[in-house]
This record gives sequence, C-alpha cells and structure tokens, in this order.
Amino acid sequence: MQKELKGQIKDFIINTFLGGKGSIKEDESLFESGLIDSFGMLELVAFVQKKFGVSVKPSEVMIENFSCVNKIVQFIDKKQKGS
Amino acid sequence: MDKILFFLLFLTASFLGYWFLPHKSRSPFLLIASLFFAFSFSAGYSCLFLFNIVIIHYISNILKNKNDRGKVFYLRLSLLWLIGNLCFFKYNNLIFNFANLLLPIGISYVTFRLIHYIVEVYRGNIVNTSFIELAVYVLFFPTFLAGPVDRFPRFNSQSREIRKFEIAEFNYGLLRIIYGVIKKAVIADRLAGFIMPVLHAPQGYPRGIVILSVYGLAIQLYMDFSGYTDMAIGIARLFGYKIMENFDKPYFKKNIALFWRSWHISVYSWIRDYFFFPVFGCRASKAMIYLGTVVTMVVFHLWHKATLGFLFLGIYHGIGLLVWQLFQVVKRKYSFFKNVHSYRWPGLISWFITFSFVSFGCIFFNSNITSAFNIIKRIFM
Repeated sequence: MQKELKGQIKDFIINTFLGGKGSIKEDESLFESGLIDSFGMLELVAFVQKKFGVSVKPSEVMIENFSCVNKIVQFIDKKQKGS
Repeated sequence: MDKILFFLLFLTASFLGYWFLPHKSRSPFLLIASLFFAFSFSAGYSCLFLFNIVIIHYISNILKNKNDRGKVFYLRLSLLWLIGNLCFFKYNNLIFNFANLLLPIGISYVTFRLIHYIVEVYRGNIVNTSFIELAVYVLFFPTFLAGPVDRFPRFNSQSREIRKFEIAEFNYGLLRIIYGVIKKAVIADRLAGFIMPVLHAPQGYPRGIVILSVYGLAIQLYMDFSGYTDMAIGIARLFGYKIMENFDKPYFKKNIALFWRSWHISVYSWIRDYFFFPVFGCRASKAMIYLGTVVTMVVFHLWHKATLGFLFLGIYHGIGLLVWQLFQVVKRKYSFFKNVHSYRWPGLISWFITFSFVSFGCIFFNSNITSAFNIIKRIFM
C-alpha cells in the first residue's frame, strides 16, 4: 500500500517538476534541492487532496509535512487513519 | 546624549554583564537589557509589547490543555489581537486617524515573532517555554529594530545552551558589524548622494544617467538594508547567538522566484509559512494558487508601507512571479527550454532580466507614485 502511494507521489513529482524524466529518492529534500518552491508546494498539496481524498487544514500546510516523499506518505497515512 | 555614543555604552555594558554572569542569569539579564533598549524608544509602546508577550504566553499555556476546537478558538483570538494591533498602529494614519499615534518602533518584528510562536505552539512544535525565554526571543535587542525574524526553536536552543566566551565568535561578530557599517554608512549613504538628485528631478538628466541611477538605487537599497542586517547579526554574535541570515546574494539570481528566496529571507519565509501556505494552501485549485501569489506579494509590500507605490510594487512583483510560474509550465512541455539556464549566455540574459526587473521595481520603493512615473517617463519617452 505504502509502496503504491510512494510510486504515485514520485510519478506526480517527476511528471510535474522534472518534465517526466529523471528520478527522485524517497528521502530527498524537495525544497533544499530546489526541485520545488513555495508555488510547487501548493501544487503538491492540491494533488494530495484530490488524489487521495485527504482534507488538509490550513495549519497543516507546512514544509515539514511535505518536505520529501516519505514525509508526504507519513502525512497521508496519519490523515487517513485519523479520519 | 549622542545616540551612537549611547548605543556603544549600552552595548559595552550589556556585553560585559552578559559574559560575567553565570549561565542561568544570562537570559534574565538579556531581557532587562532588551527592555532598557526598547524603553529608550518609547516606554508606552514597550509596555504594550510586554503586555502582548504576557497574553500570548498565557494563551500558549491554555492551548496545551485544550481539545482541537478549543485550541482553534484561542489561536484565532490570539491572531486577531496581534494582527489587529499591528494593523491599527501601522495603518492608523491612513484609515482610523486616531490621536495622531506614532508607529511603535519594532512592532512588526515583535508581532511576527509572537504569531510564529503561538502558531507553532498550536501545531505542537513548541512546548515547555518559560515567560523569560519567550520575552528574550521577542525583544532581543540586536534584532529588535530591523530583524531578522528568527524562529523560536532555533533561537531558544541557543539561549538554553551553556556557552563560554569564544574569541573567534567575538571577532566574527565585530567583522560583521564593520561590514554592516561600511555597507550602510560608506556605500549606501554615499551612493544615495549621487543618485537621489537624479531620481528626484529626472527631467534634468540624460536618459543613460537616469537608467544608471535606477540600477544604483537597487544597489543602494540592498547595501542599506543588508548593512543593518549585518550589524544585527554581528551584535547578536557578540552574545554568542547565531541569527538566521536575511540575504543570500539576491542580485546574482537568475530568476524572480530565486530572487525572492534570497531577499529579506526571514520575513519572506514568514509570510510564506504563515500567510501564503495556510490561506491558499488547502484550496486545491491552480487559479487560487496563482491569485495567492499576487495577493501575498501585495500583503508583503503593504506591510512595508501602505502607499499607492507599494501597492503597485506588490502587484508588479506578484505578476513577475506569476509569469515565472507560467513559464515553468511552458518549460515542462517543450524540451528546448528545459536546460536553457545551464548554458552560459541564456544564464547571463536571465540574470540581467531578473536584476533589471528588480531594479526598476525599486523606483516605487523609493518614490511616491508621481515621482516614480516621472522617472519611467524620462526613461521610455
């Protein structure tokens, strides 16, 4: 389940921010590497909401929750278990 | 007494007192020194700051024992109070015109720190803080006047750390202060002497000189502002504190998004984390994100100053960022653009366009709207 989730997130990042080419590591910092800026972060949040049916609260939109693929998966997992 | 002499005496006394005291007395001492510094500007406003710190500290303790609904209520109450305070004083003369109040010096930075603190307490990222720790963070005198707005966890871990005086840190601090003084007093102030007469009466000068003055203005603003930051970082380092940097070679960046990640970093990242992300982050619509980019830039600039010029500047940079984001979409679609920045000449052209875009925006930073349009008229007509 988690593997599938990670794959979908990676695919989105590669298609949206890398033009469909290249690869990213699951613990690679998306912001520090410069791959994603604040605008990209919101694109990512929108994707997570639409794709996984997760409702993200304003106070949860922070870099810590979306800093790398692993963190995003953890966040989705926590939200899905909580709801 | 001369202001500079007063500050030097105050700094020397604070420095000696701080390092002679044992570790547990240093934070209370820094708070007293910072309060003395704040009171030297205005006793009344310093009491207001203290009152706000007491309230936020009190509410932060309540937040720890509340359920989710209760927490949201207290968070909203705190934000309403703090933002209300800032807006009232910042825009009093423009909107309320109540009793000709002066703008309290340092109110923006005090408010930003308190909002950051209460939001992070709400999120559970800050726990177990004493009143003195919070007050030292908010009023820390090296960064009281012009920032940077450091983050509490980073700052407080340094307050708690038992430190010994280190000559290398002291030397670094002094060097940063000297850099700051040179940037501000030697470069920025002298440059202003050359360019301001041109920008105030552009019709009397050749077009080339006016254009050069606009670029000069961008450099002057950077030297002025980053000079203050260097001094603040240097003074903080004399007390062993490593404060976050506010600038990262902004005029060498090759696009406007990178520029904004390297200019006034502490406040820009604050606006991003506590305005752009929470307000526009969960809308799940691209149009809202685009709108959010422009609105955030407008808010950021109107925070600087509530004038027509700053409103224009906010829209100008907002649209700049928007165009850059739309260009990213195009870039992803067409392979020709993908590696365009890694080539030398397109890289130089990107840098020149970015620097020119930012420099021309500075016209609105420095002048009223009529003078700004006079400069533009002289350049383009």
